[in-house]
Amino acid sequence: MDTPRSLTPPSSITRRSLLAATAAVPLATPAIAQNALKGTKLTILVGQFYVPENNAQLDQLAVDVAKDTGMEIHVERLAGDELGVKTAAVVATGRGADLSIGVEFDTYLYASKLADVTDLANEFGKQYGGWLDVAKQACMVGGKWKSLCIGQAPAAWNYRVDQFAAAGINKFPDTFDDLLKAAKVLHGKGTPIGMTLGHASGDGRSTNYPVLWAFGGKEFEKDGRTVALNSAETLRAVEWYKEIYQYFIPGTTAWLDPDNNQAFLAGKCSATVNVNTIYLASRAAAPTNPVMKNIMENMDHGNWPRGPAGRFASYNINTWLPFASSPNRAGQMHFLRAWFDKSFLPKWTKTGQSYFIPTFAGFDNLDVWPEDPKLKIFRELNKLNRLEGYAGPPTPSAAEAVSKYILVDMFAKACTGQLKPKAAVEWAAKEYEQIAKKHRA
Amino acid sequence: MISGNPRMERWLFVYLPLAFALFFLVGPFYWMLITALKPDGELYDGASNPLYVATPSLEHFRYLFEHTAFVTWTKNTMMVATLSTIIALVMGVPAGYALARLRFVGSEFIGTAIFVTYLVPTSLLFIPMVEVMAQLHLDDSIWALVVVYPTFLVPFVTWLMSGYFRTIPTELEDCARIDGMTRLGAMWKIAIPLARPGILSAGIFAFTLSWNEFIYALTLVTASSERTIPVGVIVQLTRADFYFWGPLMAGALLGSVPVAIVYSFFVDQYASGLTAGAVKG
Amino acid sequence: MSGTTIPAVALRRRRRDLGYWLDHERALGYMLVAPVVLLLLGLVAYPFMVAIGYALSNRTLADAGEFVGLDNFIDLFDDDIYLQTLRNTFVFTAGSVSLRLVFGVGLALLLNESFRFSRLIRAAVLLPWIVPTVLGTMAWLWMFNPNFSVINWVLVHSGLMTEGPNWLTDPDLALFCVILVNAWRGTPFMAITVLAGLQSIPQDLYDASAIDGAGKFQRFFYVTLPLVMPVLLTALVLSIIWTFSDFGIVYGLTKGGPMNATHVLATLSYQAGLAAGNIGEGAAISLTMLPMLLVLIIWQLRRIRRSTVL
Repeated sequence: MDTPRSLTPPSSITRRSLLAATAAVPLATPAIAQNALKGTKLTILVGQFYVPENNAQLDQLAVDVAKDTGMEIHVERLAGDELGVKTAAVVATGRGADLSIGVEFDTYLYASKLADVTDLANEFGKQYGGWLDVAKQACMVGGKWKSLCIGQAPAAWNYRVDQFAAAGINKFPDTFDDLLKAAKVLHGKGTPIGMTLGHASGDGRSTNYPVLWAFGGKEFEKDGRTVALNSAETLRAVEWYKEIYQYFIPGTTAWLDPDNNQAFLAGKCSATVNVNTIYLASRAAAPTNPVMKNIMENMDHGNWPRGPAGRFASYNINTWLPFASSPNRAGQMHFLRAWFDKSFLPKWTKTGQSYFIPTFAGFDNLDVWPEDPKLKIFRELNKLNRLEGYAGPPTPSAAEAVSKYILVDMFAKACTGQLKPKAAVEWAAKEYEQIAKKHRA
Repeated sequence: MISGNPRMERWLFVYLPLAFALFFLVGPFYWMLITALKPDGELYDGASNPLYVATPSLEHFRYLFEHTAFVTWTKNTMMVATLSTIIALVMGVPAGYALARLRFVGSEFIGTAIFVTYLVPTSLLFIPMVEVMAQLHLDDSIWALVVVYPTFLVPFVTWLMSGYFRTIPTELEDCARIDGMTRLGAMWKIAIPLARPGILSAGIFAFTLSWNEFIYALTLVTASSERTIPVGVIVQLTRADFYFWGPLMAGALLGSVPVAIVYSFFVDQYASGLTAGAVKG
Repeated sequence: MSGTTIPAVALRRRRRDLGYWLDHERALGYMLVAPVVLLLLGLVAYPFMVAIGYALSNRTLADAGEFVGLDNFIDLFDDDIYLQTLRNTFVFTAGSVSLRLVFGVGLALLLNESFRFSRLIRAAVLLPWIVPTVLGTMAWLWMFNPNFSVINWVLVHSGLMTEGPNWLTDPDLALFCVILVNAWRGTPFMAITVLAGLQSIPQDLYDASAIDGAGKFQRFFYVTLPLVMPVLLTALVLSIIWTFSDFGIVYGLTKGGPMNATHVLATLSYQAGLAAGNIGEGAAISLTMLPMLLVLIIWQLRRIRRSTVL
């Protein structure tokens, strides 16, 4: 049961359901679809999208599909970390849900328990002008699509234009050297910047991997098996970090995902790496809250600076994980079609205010981009990112390194002086070797 | 003996340490209350006094009741905790008695084995447990929790009670046995009533352990209508990288203060010197 | 042992009816423990064996993997993070349990006194134990917040410090914080359990010791302490188990950071088994808790048995 074709054996599912499963426009499918899916059940695990209307749209889609097909659909919403636990339990036991939202590495970790959705992926790719490379990397395992990329949340530099201007900086720094200089001046003015160096599952990654890459450092060779972390480039990245760390707001090594948002919103931090939730939160509260209004008016988003090796970013990616254990594969496919339908996804994207952006090349030309000038940058950022594990493909080894926060801790150990930069790099390289050895076996 | 002013002594050795203990144990709840009563505008204002609410508001509590299923979660938690506690006491109290009082071959081994099951960490068991519950057709319902919670409550109650029974002098039971009462009768009519404070505290603590449980409640139950308070509050009130501190703290308060009030009646009961003068025969 | 047979009774009953068995020490013993044993065999022993199977394999969440013998364990003892975690877990447990013991016994003695509002106070001190761990931990997270710490606000505004400490940033301080929160959570259990023990001490014994001219401290060490010892030891053992295998507090406050300074075995096991998907390794990490706890438990059980002979 590896391809969509064979997932509809004549014995259990009728020809009608095959038609239903391959019909292109789900919400307008004729009666045949209704009969095939009527009375079946579909449980979908989802997380909390930051923009509340996005959650409501998803719920409404489920209601519409249910009405249209007679299928019983349950959408169960959990917070990020708990969604991960629940998804893991479904993967391990084959019970509890038919579809779930996963993060970037889940496809690799769970590939053997996921249905092949290559045909759907090709169909949607064609529909929206092709998938971005990052989607292919995140969703394809062994040449087959095992998940469908929902989108990614681009992280940018959030900074206080007013505080930067007060420090004589009128444009967000374009190089790592300039960023370092800016941090020093801002620190002197009592308005320090901060980068997350704690075990934060989202910001820990999106803040720290780009630094490594900008200096030309890499975790693995192209084969994804040979550890390449211990290099002069990595060492330079660590040394840069150690230097800029002394100008940070105190506490960044304990920062979890919400902490940089809170520090920034309280006006205590003049710049940090984050998705646009800081801006969206301040904008939402601005009408009734003068403090937030002030933040909203005085902040903006900046691109990552350019390092010796270029400009890179790392984002959180979400994917639809279709569990192969699901007894309702036709229902799964039907729901995914409804999600990626032209009547839904562009509208959903526009509502999301560039917090979450689908990974299709053709979206550039669609009317999905927010009007707000301070959110314009995310359209470009959507094309900037890399997946962890570079220069190799995303592998279980890279995933394990992420979940163990090895790279974050490498920087943190050097920044806090617990280890000398060279020793920190060596420590991290040793951890990587151990991880890689396990997965090579 | 410390000589001197007895009132002074009482202040020094009772009230002062008690005040310190209350500050440490209850202080965070004051903080929760402040956070729950503060409107968002004040909450994130770095300039305002964090220990004081300028314009108290019930908006966070309202949010909890109007925008989440907090009432349902409370009902679920109540039911699961009550039923699993009853099961745990019915099984655990007699077993604890047997291990403390009766001599039978292998009792030491059985006792140790029961306690050892308590050492098996949840982090190890929960994945296989999801499968077991599925085989019992209990997946995705709170009944799964009613079945699973006794697996860690029963060893706990057994252990606590066997320790407790050992602190009760045996004279009364011996007398009753001489008067012709059976062993079971002696347990039921003499030892268990005497152990009431211990049973109450075991029950209270078993109830609390189920009240708090997180990992099983998260993994064994999917439907949002079947969630318990800890899971419901966490998954509903943390969104991406944003925590809803106000409603979170309101949920924490409502998830603990009513139970503490109920407990206070029991605590009072078992703290009223029940056993004084019990050993007189 | 206290359950000594009384010959007169044993001789009197000859008929082997239900009454006989209910009075038969051995039979009754088995009957009373049987339900517990059956429950645990069915719902703990089976999943436990499955989990041991995991620990001996390179299973991942998605793939059954194959038997690798003790490889997972051998790898662990070659892993700096595991060894650091092991050390953290012992410091965490020793620190937290000592605090619980001191605070708990002290509080029990205080609560055993009579004073006004005692019912209210007894209810209030239970709060940290009742509040769901994840939510109580959230409150502390908010109090230790690097930029909004109310504790620091107080320290600064009372003039004690010019700048508050970075609670969760400094590795040693972060470990102290998770210990403190764990002790906060566990103290009420210790206190109330010991209090229940105190309440069951017959007043006669105090009266007798008072007649013998014993002072307060002598009374505590020669009457109170020996009599509550079994309950105290039991509560102590439970506290050790809970702390040693605690997950929620570390996970909620630091996720094991900064730089793994607060990782304990349960959080590391979660990280390896679920976040990284290596169920085999995760199970192996969890399993290493068992022998350590086991040694401790057997030792404590012996002490509990012995203490009853006092």
